[in-house]
Amino acid sequence: MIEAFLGFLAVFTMAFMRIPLAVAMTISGFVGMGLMRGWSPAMASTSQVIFETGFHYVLSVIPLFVLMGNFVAKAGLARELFTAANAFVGHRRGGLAMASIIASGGFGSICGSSIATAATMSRVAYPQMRAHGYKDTLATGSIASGGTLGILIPPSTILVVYGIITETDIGKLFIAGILPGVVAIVCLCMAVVFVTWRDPLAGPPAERFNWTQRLKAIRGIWGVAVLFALVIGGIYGGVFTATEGAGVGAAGAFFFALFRGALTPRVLMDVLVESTRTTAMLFAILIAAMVFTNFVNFTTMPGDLRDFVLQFSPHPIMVVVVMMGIYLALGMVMEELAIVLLTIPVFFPIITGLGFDPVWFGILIVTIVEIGMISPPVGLNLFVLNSLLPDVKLSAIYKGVIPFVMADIVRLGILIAVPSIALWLPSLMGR
Amino acid sequence: MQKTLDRLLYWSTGLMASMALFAIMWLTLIDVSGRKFLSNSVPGALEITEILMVIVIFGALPLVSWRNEHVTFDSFDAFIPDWLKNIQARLVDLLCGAVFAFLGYLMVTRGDRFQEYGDTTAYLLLPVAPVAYLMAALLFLTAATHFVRAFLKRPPGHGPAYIDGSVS
Amino acid sequence: QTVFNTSSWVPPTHTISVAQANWCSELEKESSGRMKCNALPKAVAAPPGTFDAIRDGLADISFTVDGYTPGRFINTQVAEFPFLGDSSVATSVAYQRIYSKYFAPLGEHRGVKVLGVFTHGPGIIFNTKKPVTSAADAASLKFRIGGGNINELSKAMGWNTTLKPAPESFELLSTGVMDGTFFPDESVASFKLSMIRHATTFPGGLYNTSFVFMMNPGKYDALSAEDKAVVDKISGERVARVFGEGWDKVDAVSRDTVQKAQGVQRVQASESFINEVKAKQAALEDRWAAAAEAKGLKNAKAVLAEFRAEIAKLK
Ligand code: NA
Ligand code: NA
Repeated sequence: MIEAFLGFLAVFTMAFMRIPLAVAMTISGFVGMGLMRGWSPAMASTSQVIFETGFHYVLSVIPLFVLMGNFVAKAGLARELFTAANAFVGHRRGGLAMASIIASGGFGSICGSSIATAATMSRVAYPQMRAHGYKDTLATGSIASGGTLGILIPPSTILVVYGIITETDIGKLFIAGILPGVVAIVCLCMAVVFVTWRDPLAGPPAERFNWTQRLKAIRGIWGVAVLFALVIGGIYGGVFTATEGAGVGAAGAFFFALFRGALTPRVLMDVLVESTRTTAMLFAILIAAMVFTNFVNFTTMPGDLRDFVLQFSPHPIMVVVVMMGIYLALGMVMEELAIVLLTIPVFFPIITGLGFDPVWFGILIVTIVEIGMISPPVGLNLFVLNSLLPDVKLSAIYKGVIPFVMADIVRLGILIAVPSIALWLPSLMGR
Repeated sequence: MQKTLDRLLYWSTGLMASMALFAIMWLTLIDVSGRKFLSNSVPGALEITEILMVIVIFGALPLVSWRNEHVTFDSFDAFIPDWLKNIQARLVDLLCGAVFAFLGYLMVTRGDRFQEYGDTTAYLLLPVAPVAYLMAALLFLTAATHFVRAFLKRPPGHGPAYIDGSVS
Repeated sequence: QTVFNTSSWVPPTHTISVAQANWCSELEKESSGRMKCNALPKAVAAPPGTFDAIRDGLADISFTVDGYTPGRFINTQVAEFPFLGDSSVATSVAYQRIYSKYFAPLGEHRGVKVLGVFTHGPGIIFNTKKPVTSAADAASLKFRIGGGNINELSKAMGWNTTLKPAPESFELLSTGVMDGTFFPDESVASFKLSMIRHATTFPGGLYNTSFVFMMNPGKYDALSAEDKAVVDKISGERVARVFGEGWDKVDAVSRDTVQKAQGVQRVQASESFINEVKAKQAALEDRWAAAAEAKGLKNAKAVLAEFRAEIAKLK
């Protein structure tokens, strides 16, 4: 346990010295591995991780979902979603923040990545909120947290990864994410209500739309519906796998952008390069997280965590609660994909052994990952916003996201207490 | 000069990576449609996708490093004086360059290993060693961009990285 | 005391993981506790990288499928051929004997200390759609397959197959992207393929898989002479038996309980179907013999014949 702890500490120290997170995790993982197993195994392990992660068919979902999101953004679908949501709630206190969350949910239904969702919505919603005098804390908090709906509402990269490592039906996992997604939207909107109740100046009301305008706005989102039907319907109907669905979805979004005249060769090139850059950035972190994970694999930490959790097995639900507590703690200091990769092999057999549903646990895991992505100090969505909105301070982003993290924890409690929210829709599939 | 370098990376490795990504998209679409409508999928589509993935990830890496787009903490920035920030940024670039160069070296050894055993892919029987060497070459290029940055007066992407931001 | 870190890329409940653990307890018992294993919570490498992981000392003991690194191993492909045998113990032990006699000296597994080799049970055609009794039936369906000889064979048979990793089987079959997959009995249970309805068996199996169980050579060399003797004692045929018996057991459980419960109809391939496969396989065996002889194996065809005879003797 002490070795793993020192490893975490080293990552932090380096990260605070402004060394990129990926490089910090690589150094810490490599040195840790070298000290524990010898330098030549450490070198072999690192090169193997780089090769295996780069040369990996299933992970092609990541660049393809990112590409899909970028095409969709260029096609203007995100703006239409925001306008539609705004038409209904924008006139309320904090209404634009709620509209941003609802639109994120809609965008999440055609985009599998949390980061792409947050990045897209920040371009659409942030300027509007700023123009209406919203405080940066509320604006960035709602965008960062709304972005995480991208991995809860299908399609979802994290659910694909979870399905692969646990051999759980990805189609069922996708369907299971829909209702919890609705619950999440409600909880996040409640957080907006809470924030503006405490501080009405954080989110002043915007203009009210009349019903003609509302109907017009809602008609604009048919494109989203078509793409959602294409990807989810195709996966559901057995035309393609979830992995392939990302490629088909990207192609669908490409044609959408093309037919809307949004793609010149130059714009196309920019979209592609931007997607590859995001991919490279994500894989740098992913590979580094795997290097670090391989080091932790040799420490006593996974075994200690399992023993700790198993103490509670007389009360199975307590095991789940304790696990979630561990995840919340780890999620603050660690990259989320690393957590999933490291802990699922340890925790999943315990969960299924106690008779819990793997689909339900998958939804809990995604929820945990969502919270991790927005919980300071290490939260990928927060970093993304920080880089997209250079004049907003990271401290403001940290502060603004707290109420939304709380709302997410409440939602996690609801999902644990009422498993049927996740399991009702998949149970209708009758496979 | 900096602009030229940026263009150069954009139109070489950046172009390569983006064409690879575009190709994966089409390959998946053709593979899926072929299987659905013609009862025949693209032979070895999986392996081609894997090789293209390598080009996407490692091809875009030099550009990401050059533009300083890696995820970085900046919580302590407010407490650090500007002159120190400048030195700190250069030291970080030197360290990153060293790390990426080391990773490149590791991929050379991995490539040598594949070469030694004559490893190939399962279906198309393409040799695997060149893929590892390609990773190595692109990692070396990534390291080089960090080393260049360490000696520039004002390296690109100063301050927090920008993920968006179209070129030029 | 020596502690070996063991790595496994299948779940801890899978028969290979269990067999590995059983082998480890034998090691501990035989050495009066001087040697024992520590099972790592997570595999140190993906399946294709496991051979290198043991060679490089990431873990000390693990197993891998030779076919996962195509191009690397030629001799071992004999253990992937059709019609080998219906029992994993018999094929594993026979394979181990042939391996020690002919393959080990050629050093294809150089870089690791081979503890033993083994195979799984007979390979079967599973599908969700209809009984497959002829080559034409098989040609009308879409199958997921793994690599190795079966890949070449199904190409030669003109079947519509796609190479996908085994863990993707569930998704491919449950969504109907694929109609079937080639697996030993065990995998229907371990991959929870509850949508499977039909099985086509071949006497001795349509295909098999060559596994190697191995140790980091540096770790072995560092052992005392006494400990080395213990490891050697439970290497070779002992390994083939431990893994083979484990596999036969789970094959039977899957066949007799899991598959029965989900109503899998078993049919045997017709005589003409078998002959068709045999004809296509003959060309592949010629090709293998040439490749193996190029790699230094003398009289490859005779070795194959001896392998088959050995299996027959054992069952
Ligand atoms: Na989504
Ligand atoms: Na986090």
